Amino acid sequence: MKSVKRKINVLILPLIIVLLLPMWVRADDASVVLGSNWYERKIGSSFLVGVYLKTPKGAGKYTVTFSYDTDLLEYDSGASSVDKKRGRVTLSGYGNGSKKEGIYVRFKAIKAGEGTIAIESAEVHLPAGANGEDAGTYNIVSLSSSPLVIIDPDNPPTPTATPTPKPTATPTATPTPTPTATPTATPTATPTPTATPTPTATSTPTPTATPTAAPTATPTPTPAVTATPTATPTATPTATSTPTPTSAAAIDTNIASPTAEPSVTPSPTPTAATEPTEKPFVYNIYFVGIVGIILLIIIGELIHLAAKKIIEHSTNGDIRKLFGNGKTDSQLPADVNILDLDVNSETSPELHRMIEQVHWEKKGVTEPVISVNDVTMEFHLSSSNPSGIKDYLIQFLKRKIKYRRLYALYHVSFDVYPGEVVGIIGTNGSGKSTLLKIVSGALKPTKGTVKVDRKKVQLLTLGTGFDMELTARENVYLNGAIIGYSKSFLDQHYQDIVEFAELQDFMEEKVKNFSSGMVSRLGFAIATAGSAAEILILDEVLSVGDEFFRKKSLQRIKELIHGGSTVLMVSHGMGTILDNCSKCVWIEKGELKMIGDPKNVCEAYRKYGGEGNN
Amino acid sequence: MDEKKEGQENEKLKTEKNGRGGLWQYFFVIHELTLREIKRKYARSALGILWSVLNPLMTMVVMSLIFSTMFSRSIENFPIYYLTGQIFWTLFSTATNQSMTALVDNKNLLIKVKLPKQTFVLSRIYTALVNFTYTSIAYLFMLAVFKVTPNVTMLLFFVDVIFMLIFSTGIGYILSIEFVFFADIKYLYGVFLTLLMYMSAIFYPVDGLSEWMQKVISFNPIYSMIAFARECVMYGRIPDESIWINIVAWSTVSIVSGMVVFRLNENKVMQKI
Repeated sequence: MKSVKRKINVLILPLIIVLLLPMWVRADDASVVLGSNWYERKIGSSFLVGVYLKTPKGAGKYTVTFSYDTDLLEYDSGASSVDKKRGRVTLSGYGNGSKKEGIYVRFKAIKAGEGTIAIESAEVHLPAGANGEDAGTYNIVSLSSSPLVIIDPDNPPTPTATPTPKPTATPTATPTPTPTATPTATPTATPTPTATPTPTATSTPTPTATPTAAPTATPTPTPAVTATPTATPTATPTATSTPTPTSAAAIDTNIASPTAEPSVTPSPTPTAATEPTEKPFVYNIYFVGIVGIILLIIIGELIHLAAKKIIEHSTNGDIRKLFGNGKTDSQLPADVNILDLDVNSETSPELHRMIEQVHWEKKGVTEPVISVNDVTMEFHLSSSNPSGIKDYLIQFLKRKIKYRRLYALYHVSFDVYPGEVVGIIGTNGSGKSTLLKIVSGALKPTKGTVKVDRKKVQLLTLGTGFDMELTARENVYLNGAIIGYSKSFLDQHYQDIVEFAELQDFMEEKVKNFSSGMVSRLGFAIATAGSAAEILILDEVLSVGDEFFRKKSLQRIKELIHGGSTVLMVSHGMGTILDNCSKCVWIEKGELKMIGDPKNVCEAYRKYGGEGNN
Repeated sequence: MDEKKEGQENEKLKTEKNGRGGLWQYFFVIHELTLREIKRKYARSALGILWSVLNPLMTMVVMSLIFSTMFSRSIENFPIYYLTGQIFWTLFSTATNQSMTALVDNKNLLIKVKLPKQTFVLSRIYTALVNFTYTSIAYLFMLAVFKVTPNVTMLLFFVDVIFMLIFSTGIGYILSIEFVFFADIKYLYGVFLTLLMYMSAIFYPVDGLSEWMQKVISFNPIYSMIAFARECVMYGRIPDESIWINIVAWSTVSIVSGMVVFRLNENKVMQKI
């Protein structure tokens, strides 16, 4: 449970970081951007270019310089200084404390063509303190530039060309008044001044009244604008019609009216009006997005956690159940007597271990090569196997998911001394393979320890780890690498492996075309290539292939054994155990039943098996 | 007698090899596993690994056809802009997606391997890197076609790739463990990847978004790495410090948490598999 929590914590950590990161934005960054990222005007029209100072704390003193193409535009009004030759306009002044300060300059389009309007440099101070001292400058993070297109109304561009750039403008179009400035750019816009006082009044309530309307409101200015190239002379009607549906358009008429211009330069009205429309919309997205992510993760983790809890819950009350005939209670370690009753052994395993120790000490060997101490291995098994979230939920609701604890090994202890060949016997599912995996280090036991030098251990299992899509040759290298052979070793022994497996003509063939016997032969050849490790663990490797190969492999194993390796082997062939082993361990349902001379142990095992069948 | 002698010699040779080259063996295993991944991936296709080159080029053409006019004003050289984002995105998504199943796919080999089990995840990451290298050929070609001027800052591209690999490895570790216990993570992660992709500004300019969204995106690690690459390759600039901080921080957090999660759950994975 503890580790589950820990894991959840680790999983949630990145999430928290993700959520907190936006807060980690430096407060003193400001950006200076143009009001529109796309200017398209007609020759002869005069229009406003807006520059916005986006600051987190409001702007104090500012100086902004931007450039324009002198061929295309002629400066009209609004700037504090202008260099008409170079096409530079400088704006300076004091902000009114708004976080989005708008400054406007009026230009007149004089020639058709394409160019850019770019902010060259900007310096924005923080709002001055109470005594008027300089509070420092903002770090300007972005200066924008926008393309400029002046079109000739007499040969207008293809109508399809005009709508295409608009979509790019739409996301930011809400705050920017410029696109809608087009209709009012015509000199006939003068009637609008009457609207000047009113738009501010009408525009402010609209955003607050309909915050959700904002997304739908955004596209609406676009049709009004796209209409303009075709309806050039009648620009005035479109301009007068726009104020009513959209707030953005309403503000624009306000700005565009020539009389309003001087008062616009400080311009508290547009900023006040645009901000509220933008924020609820953005926060909605923010909200939905974050909630969505959190929900996904929570759903996943909840299901996961719920499952874990059930494991804990059901196993606490449950008595351990093991494979086999279900005589569960008799396996408890307290019932040692049962072992003695069932099996006519001379000694109990514990006693045998001690006798052995004395015996080897007499020979001068104090340390066993493998020492298995009180090893217990516990597995959680689910009785039903849900295949996905849906299944999981259904079964979870029906309370069908139950887990049980399975002891693959229960307090097993024994020693293996140098040069011994130890056979492990037991019925299917009694925990032999688990024991081998623990000794080889692939698994860590739940309780208890295994003392063995892992570097010297080599586990041989057959058939596993072959990739059916690869050729035999590739598999030799892949499998060899995994087992721990180096490249040069494999290069050197490749021929031996092939010869031993008798697969000379099949090495470039894909393994999926092999018979199961061929696969095991290859596996055996790779596993026993060269010389063996000091401690060799064999998992059912001897019941392989045809009779001739079996003889050959047996011969090979014998060679390895005589080479001085200590061997731990699992086999169902009683003959191989009797022929090769110097000691035999019998494990039944996770427990060590008997250990000692192979003859005695095998006899007892046979007897047990016979009883079981009757 | 001769046989025995030979055997002893062999043994010496082997222990010598293993003793000297523990790390070397590690690379050998990763190399073999990667070789397998690639061979399997393209086992039935006629063009094979060439697809790693062709695929990004084809998507680039498609995306450029659709979007380049739309963004022509705000993005100069849209194909390169897109391709830079695309190859980095592919590196990340394939690396993490592949490492997710690394442990489960190799459960037969897991018992045998003496090296750390991370090897399997690393081999998947390495596979993604090999694919990326092939893709880079296409990228290099396109850079030449679109006349991007070579610059010293382009060397930083490799730094970026390294950070991307570190970041993906951390994520890969966590996902591979999680996948063993909770296979549904695959689908959840799929959804998450889609979200992340759209938030990485692969085919659109960030300037077009709302200020708030820009801020969120700038903290997206993938976006930061893509932006890093664009800065040093397309614009010939050294990326500014905020991007550096971002990618270094994300990579570190990812790899550290990944390693911790993997270490803690390693044994449980062996039981479960």
